[in-house]
Amino acid sequence: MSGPSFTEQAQAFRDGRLLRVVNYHNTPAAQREEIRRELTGYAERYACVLPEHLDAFYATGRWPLDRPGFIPVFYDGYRNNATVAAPLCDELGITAWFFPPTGFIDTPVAEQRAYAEAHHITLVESEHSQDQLAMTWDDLTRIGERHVVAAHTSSHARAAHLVTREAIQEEAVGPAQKIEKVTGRPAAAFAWLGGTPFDPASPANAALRDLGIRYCFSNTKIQRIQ
Amino acid sequence: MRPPVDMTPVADPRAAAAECERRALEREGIPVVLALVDERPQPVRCTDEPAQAEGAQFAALFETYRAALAPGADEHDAAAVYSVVALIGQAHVREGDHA
Repeated sequence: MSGPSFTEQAQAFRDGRLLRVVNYHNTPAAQREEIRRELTGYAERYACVLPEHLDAFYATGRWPLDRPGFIPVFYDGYRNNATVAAPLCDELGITAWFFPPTGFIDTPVAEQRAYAEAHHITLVESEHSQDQLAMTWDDLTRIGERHVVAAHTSSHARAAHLVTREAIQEEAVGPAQKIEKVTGRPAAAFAWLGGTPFDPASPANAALRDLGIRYCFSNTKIQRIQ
Repeated sequence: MRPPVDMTPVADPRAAAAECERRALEREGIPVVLALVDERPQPVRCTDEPAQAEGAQFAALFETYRAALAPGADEHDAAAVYSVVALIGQAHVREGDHA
């Protein structure tokens, strides 16, 4: 059973297999100071977890950190992730993980609002007057120099909807390959719309595992999948 | 360094969970405590003593909040599991609440 369960969650906690994650989506300029305060507080208590730290934990059962770990995650490729979140993280010495749907980045500026509305990418009222809503590939390249970039499909898709080889290539494999090309590093992780977990019986999940991706992030757990 | 986060269960889990549900996911940082699961044939065993110690605290919170929020929920009710995970994050990770 790959879905969440009370028993699995409780057992993981009892065993010490847990990690704090803070899930962000929009990070508008109007909330810059609030986000700065939050991130500062988290960074004072917790150590940023990188893929190599997760790898070490899953190899040895021990964390190579002097404090409990945490991961700030920024979902959905918003322009404000590039203009607000990433610079704040840089200023504070925080390494974050970014999960952009690559189709949003590829969408022409004039079409981004309609694209977002059609693909469960929620916009914020304070940015309704803005045209550029998605980050650019140049933004993502810069983010990838200091942060972790992970796969989040092309059009913000759900794994269950990807059945054909073409759909899996377009929505799952292709975006991960594009991220590797742009950042120079293979994606260490992926996530689906809706936060569903890795399911080995799902062709799309299996394709991402076969591509070499090691972690699936979902609503209640992080799975090491190979 | 800030003082440790309060690991005492919140007095009113249902009210705290309702507050979690009112948060705006699209523009707020939502803290959660995720399980680390190993799908490989030989799953890793945690031997990290600090992680085990705080894991015991989180496990106790998880059972307390499960009993309060989802006493009759199905074992595999993903939304119910998440509601407990979100409450733990909100009450015992969220920056500022206990600073």
